[in-house]
Amino acid sequence: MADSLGFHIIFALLGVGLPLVILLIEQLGLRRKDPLILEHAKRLSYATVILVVAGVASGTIISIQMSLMWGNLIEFGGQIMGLAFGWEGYAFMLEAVFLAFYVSTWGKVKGWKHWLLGVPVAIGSFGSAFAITLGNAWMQNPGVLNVVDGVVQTDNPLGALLTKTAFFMVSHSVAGYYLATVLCVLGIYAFYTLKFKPSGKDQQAVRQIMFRLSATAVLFVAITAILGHFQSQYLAESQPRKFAAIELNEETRTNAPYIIGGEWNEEGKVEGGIRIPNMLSILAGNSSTTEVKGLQDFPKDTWPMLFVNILFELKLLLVAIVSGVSILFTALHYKKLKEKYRAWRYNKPLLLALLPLGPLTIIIVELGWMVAEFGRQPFVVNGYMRTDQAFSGQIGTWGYIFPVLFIFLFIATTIALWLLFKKQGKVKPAKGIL
Amino acid sequence: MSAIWFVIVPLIIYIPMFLVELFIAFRRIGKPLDKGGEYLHATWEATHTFLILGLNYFMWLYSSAIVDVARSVFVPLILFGAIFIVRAILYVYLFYIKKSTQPNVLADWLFAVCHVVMLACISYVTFATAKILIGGNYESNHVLLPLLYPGLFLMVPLVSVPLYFLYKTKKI
Repeated sequence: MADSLGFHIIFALLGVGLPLVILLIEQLGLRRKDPLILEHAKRLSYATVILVVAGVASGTIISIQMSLMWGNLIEFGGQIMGLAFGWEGYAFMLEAVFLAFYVSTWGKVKGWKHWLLGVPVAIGSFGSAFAITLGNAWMQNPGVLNVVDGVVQTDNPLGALLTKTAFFMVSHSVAGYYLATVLCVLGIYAFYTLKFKPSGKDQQAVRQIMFRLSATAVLFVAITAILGHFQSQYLAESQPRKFAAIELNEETRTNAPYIIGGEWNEEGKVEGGIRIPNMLSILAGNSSTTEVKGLQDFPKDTWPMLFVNILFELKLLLVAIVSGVSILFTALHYKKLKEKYRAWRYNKPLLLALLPLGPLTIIIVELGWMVAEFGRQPFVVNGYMRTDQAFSGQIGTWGYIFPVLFIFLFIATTIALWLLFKKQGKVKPAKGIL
Repeated sequence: MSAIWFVIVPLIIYIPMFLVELFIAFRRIGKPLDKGGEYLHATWEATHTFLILGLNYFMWLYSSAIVDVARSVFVPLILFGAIFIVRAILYVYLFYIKKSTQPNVLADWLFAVCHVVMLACISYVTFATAKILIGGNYESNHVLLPLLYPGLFLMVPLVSVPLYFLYKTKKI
């Protein structure tokens, strides 16, 4: 099932982010009455359709796999998780139906009326991510549960879902999805600039779009960084086992050091790494006297998968690269900067550096998901249900079908997107779009 | 209102739209390209969200029945999923990759047949599930119903408006 989820996340996050990006670009085109910018928005909306086709397929597979393989989990947490998944169904319906409508009405419904048709798409895509992450947040930190005959009983499923963990997970994840999408589209325009060398009005349109995208990216870099910090602090308090595994903290202590580059051995001891004294305590509670729980405080059979710290450090490294390049590109737009420095914005090296930012951010999102999921192990509902207890049916050799088909679907989708942006060539203003 | 309506209502909306898509899939065999925007706008995917909604409702409202149902519909459901991905691959190939005006009859046929296989699988799963639910004594998660009503009563009519226009303008 992990392969399906890993695959689906790529399409899901782009499906969440692209409606917002398209609205931003269409709004720019309408405000400036520029049919070229609107044509760019139109092309991106067709890309969204391709991604939604792949996302619907992989999302359906996940639903099927959930029901076939994780029946015990559904039975256990149905009264709470059902609400999140029920809402996700509505939100996804809103997104998919209005997306089809939005795409089919280019040139038929014009101006701000068309833009308004895109708003439900963005709301629906946000709602999907919101609802699914609520369900996941409950599994990460379910609070105190009333379990009767192996089933969670509640008369307040809403209260069980809307928690502080949910707030941090939803806001941090969704901001990350938006950031990844914005940077993917920025990379597409960097490619467009390198390949087609737009001039005149097209160059003006592309540069306006790129600036808007990069400024949005910097905003989301700041939001995800701030939220990430507070989420980590809350993680130390609410899920200390996972926090200890991620941050390489062996024993409960004050003045805990922050360790970069170390790793766990099988006995739960940290080997190697550079130690920054007191820093983990400061990060966890804003003071070197903050006590941070260590992994040794927990029974060994409840330890998470200990490679989570490597995934987390890799994530931080990529975050630093992505943030640095996007901040640099945006800063070079500063008008008081000398023209010779401002000219670097559209020089080949910086444009080349923009190309991988989107894929790197997708990898960051995937790493974040892996840290959350592997860090929660051996539980599926933290503290209550172990992963092996949740498993209800062996999928057997059938399980190999989906990864193979996903590879073909991925190839087909990539080729289709490539053709959409490369083979269709330079964007030309279409008549009747404004 | 019983929980079962949350499964039945999406299915009732889904079936006629799926049949339209099935008809179009066979009618377009051997024709060069999607000139009328019949597929480019992904109405099938929009329609399909009703099936996902029904499946979601069933899974979570009848969570006590899920293990028994999953055992009895395992193969058709897996087959449905596999064909679903094959259809998505063919969709992307036919309408976004293939640029030749020459028809690809084999791909067209495969694409159309995918719909038939999926319909057969869904029908089997629906009847097998209904049989298990009628024969068993499964409690639904009533606690969720008040929180799901607004979606059923507001969202379904809301999305019906664009769906109506999408199918109205589709060349059937």
